[in-house]
Amino acid sequence: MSRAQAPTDSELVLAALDGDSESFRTLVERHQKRAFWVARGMLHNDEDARDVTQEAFIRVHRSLARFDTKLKFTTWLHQIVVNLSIDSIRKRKRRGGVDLDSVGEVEDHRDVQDPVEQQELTGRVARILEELPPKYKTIMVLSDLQGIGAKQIAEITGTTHATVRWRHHRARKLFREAWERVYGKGSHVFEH
Amino acid sequence: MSSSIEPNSASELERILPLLSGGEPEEEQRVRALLALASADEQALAEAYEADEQALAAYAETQQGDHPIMLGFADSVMAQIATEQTAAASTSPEQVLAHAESLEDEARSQAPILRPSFSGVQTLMAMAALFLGALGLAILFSAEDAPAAKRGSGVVAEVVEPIPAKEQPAALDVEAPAKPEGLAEGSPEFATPARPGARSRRAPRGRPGIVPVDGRGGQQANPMLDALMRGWQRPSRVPPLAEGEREVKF
Repeated sequence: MSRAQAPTDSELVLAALDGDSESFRTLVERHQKRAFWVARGMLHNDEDARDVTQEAFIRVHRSLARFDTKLKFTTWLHQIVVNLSIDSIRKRKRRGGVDLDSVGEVEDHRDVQDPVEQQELTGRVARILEELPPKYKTIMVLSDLQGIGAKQIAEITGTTHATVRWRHHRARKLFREAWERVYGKGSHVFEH
Repeated sequence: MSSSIEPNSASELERILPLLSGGEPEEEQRVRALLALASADEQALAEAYEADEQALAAYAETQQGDHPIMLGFADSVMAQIATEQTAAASTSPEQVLAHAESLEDEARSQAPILRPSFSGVQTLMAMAALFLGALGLAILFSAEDAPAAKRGSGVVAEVVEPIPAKEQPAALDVEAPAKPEGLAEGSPEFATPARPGARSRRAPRGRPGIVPVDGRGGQQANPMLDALMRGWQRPSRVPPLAEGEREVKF
């Protein structure tokens, strides 16, 4: 007797549309982690990232009827998360920016204890990422931090595959320039 | 994959370097093979990119797993959704319509009632416009009631034709001026002294049958009124008679 397979995202969406709230809960539990980290990579703030993620799921639930089941659910979800994150960044800038000193403080929530050097490095990377413009930061977060492919990033950001590739290159260049500006030219990321 | 990755320059190499991360395995192999042939600067750049990639990978490891702040996240999302659904279910379509109508009534009751109001200047301007309109209509109707002028009379009226000398005494029935002795005809002294102000009077228009006489519009004055006027105007207008002159009456 074969074990029943887990329902796909599309099946869960259809069930949620029929009024099955547990199906939607399954969707939330399945994708909340990645959605949070995408928002966290964009916003560099835990509270804001949680709020954005929650708002994204609520919007998804409101618009379930408009979801095209031929598309990937994660693409749709990450599209909303990225857009809400960019909105949040803009609002934050209007309020007066962000304290860069707090940006570098990245807590490691993994069970494995990393060396201090590693934590310092991640703090530096976070600080440099914070300086990037949102459209480049989006590409780096989705690609370099979350490992999402260029084609799906193109769907999430509403651009072409070529544009994503070019922005990725540009983002890397900006990252390197910012690194050299902050930590000195020729400084290696592992030499500090 | 048959992509044409040929790093002919540093910029081209720089462009393809991000392919190291997340690219196709074949592309990655091609890039690494080409880097082996690159110059020292290009290899240093590639090393920098690799180092960045390692740093990003180290950072990405911290961006995974469960975060304490996400505990109970699904419950809070579902609670929020349930609240929204309850609020939506509690309001039936009739209630929504009634609420919208009440809001509309309220907005209408608070709206100011607009009545036309005129200030003093506007009233004055309106009265002046009415007066001018009435005046224009009156002129129009009076012009329509008047008899039509003869054809060409307007042109004739502008021309002051000289009156033949032989007709003048008979037509006017006035006494011819006596020619003073010792003065030649046509000399300045022979001319009748012009009264001051006479120049400003407009010359009478030559209407058919009316002959200008003394510059008073071609009309014969009342003898009594003329005598009265002459007696009143003489001291100021007519210079005193010199010795040997005498007054000439017309």
